[in-house]
Amino acid sequence: MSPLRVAITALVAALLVTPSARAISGALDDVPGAVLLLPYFEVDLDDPNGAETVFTVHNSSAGPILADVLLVTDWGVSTLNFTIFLGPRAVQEISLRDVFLGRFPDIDPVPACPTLGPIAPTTVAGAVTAHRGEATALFGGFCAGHPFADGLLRGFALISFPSQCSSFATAELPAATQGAAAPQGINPEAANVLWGDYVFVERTAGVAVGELLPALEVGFSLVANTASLTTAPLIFPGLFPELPPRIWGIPFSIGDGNTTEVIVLHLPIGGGLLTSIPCGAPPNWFPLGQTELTAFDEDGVGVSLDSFRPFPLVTNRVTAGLFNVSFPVPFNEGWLRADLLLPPFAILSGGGGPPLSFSYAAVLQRSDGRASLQRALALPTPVVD
Amino acid sequence: MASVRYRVAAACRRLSSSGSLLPLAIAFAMLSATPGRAVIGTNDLVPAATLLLPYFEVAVDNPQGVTTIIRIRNVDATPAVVHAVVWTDLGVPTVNFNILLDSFQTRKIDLRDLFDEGNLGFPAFGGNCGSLAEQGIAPASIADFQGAHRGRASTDFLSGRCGALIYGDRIARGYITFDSANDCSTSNIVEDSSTYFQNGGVGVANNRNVLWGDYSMIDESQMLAHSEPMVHVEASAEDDLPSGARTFYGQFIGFSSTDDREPLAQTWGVRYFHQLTDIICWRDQPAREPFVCEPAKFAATQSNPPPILSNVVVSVHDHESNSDTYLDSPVPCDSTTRRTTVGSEAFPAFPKTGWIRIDTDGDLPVFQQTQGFVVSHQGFVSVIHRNQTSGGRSLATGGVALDPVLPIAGSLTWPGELP
Repeated sequence: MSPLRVAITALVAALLVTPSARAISGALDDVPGAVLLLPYFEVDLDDPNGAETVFTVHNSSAGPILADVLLVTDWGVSTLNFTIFLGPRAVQEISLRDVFLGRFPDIDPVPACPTLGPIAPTTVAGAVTAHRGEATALFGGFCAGHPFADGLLRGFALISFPSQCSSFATAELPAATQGAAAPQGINPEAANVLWGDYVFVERTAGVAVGELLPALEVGFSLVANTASLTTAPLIFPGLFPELPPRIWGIPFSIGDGNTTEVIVLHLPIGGGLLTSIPCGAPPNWFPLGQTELTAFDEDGVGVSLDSFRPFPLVTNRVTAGLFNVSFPVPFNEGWLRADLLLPPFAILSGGGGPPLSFSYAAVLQRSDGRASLQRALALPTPVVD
Repeated sequence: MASVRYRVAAACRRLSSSGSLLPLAIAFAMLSATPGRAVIGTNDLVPAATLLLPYFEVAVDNPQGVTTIIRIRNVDATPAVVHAVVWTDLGVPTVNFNILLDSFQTRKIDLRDLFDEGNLGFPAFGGNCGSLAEQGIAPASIADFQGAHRGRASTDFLSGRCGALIYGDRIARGYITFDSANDCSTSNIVEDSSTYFQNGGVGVANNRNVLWGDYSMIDESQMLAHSEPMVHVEASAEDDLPSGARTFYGQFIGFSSTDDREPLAQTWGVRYFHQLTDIICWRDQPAREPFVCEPAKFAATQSNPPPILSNVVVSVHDHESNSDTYLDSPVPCDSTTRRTTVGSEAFPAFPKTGWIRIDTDGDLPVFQQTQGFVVSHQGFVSVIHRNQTSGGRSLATGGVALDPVLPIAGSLTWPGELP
């Protein structure tokens, strides 16, 4: 039996049968989910000892599964979508350097599912230039990422289950699992089977730091905006992922041999996909802002940094520092309160509507050659905004 | 009190020159978007009423050795009192102290200061903390305190008895709990359980979810630099957990749920690399009294670990053969808290890489019958990976709770053993 057929069979069985532990939607907890966020990656293809990002995906279920990996630039433009196969309880480790060199995890190609087939070298080459912020043949010579001009590939990734390939092969699914709404008898939480971690590797600096991939659970309690769901590499109709928080507490320590880099991923929603644009000018939304950014020192003294926009891209890795003109944190030690709600969506939602944006934040701290990567603290969202 | 200039900016000021509306949608959309929120009973990193430092090491009287540095913060605009209890690795409390946190304040504590100097590096102050301003450990008792956390008999802290495993080194081990409190106190939840928690958070401890903390365990000689958030345990003042509910401090309060604190998960998954991964396992256990010192019995290097915590199920998934193996060994969770290297003598194994499922409940029903007490089915597991790429320096990736929601009452929801 092919991996695809095995995975689909297992998926259906899992959705219909497995009495999984109850998942809680709406809390960014470290539990298996249906969607994993790799919030930021960097890859240096020019230097084998340069920046690299490696992530692993675990299947916590007792059956084999297919999962999709979607790579997206720091302007939020999707470039590559490929499928991985995970046996029962199995793990797949993926080096993004390998991916951008055209070396994908082995899996049987299935004609009906484009993400399962071999990805053309020209597509991979186009993705490389797109993630470098250069003009790319992938989008007709347009640009799809910020032009840092340092050769690094940047972006973020989504890993989701079930795979689109399951949908492509709907003939293999029982009728009960097809249709516009999640059918009765299916346990949506059975899709919460993915967990994993990611690691930034800097060989020349002797640093490798990692943390768990944030996992988003799905459940029936969440209602979808079907207009934009078509952009998601997701899932069966009717199953929707929870949103991460929007307000974060981010520790920092700078000076005296300490540095702090903040990783922020904005995932605004409502509208269409981000698209590539002619090179030479940034997108009209650039730079992204935030609703609030306050730095507190160790004694709790707060200074507003609202007028700065240190996280201008969809995904960012930014060094905090007094002399960083875009992120002038005025203290050596303390924490940041960052409400990453994107202001335009406060308007889109009609002022009194729900916040239509979500985000993720982590912090990479270095001290005397040591480094650590930690998730930021999720702070409660005000009831009235 | 330090002046606080923090203000919430007017919404209109935030809507500055970002250009046209952002025409994008990446992946997920919600008609009724509900961003992340704190949820009782989940393993989420949110402000909490209790912080658990699951494991610490401090090389005593050795400034070059391992130490553990804590940062604890108050994310609220009003001050917070924190009551901390230091426990041995077998779950015996030794000392407690108070920390006053101003609004949005951060306190940094190097546990080397506590174990070598007998203080926190700063005094507590305000409220009823006045009489406790000089809180700390008398110089004459410091060696005794160190010994209590190294498996030695302790006159001042353990009534001449023992309370920790013996590793045969000069490293103090244990864990610490930090509770949001109504005022400074010398209370100890083991000795004052009826007053420490009272319904609605009106006892010594309260239910304010305002604390945020992390810790770093640093050992230059071992090229260890492990940092991660502490375990954040939320309190629920509104949910009014029913008596009999499993809660974080349930075993100390007869499962009366007066602590209002969510329990931790029972089943955890962690990734490992043979001899390159340390597992940190903290698991709840019944309150333990100091015991008559029996070094041979309680030595961590012996094959006879304390029997009280032998009920753990560990299964290892081999990447290469794609198969699961069950282990009888209770290590790495045979004490209340422990750091164990995968593939070491204490925890021999395994395939080169894989992931480990640890069920801290194990064969509990049988265990309960034979031991005659109730265990609260909770634990916390994390890992330290030593990465060869990084020159041996550690990188931290935590554990995943495989049973994220423990039921408030009734049986566990984990579907059963692996096939």
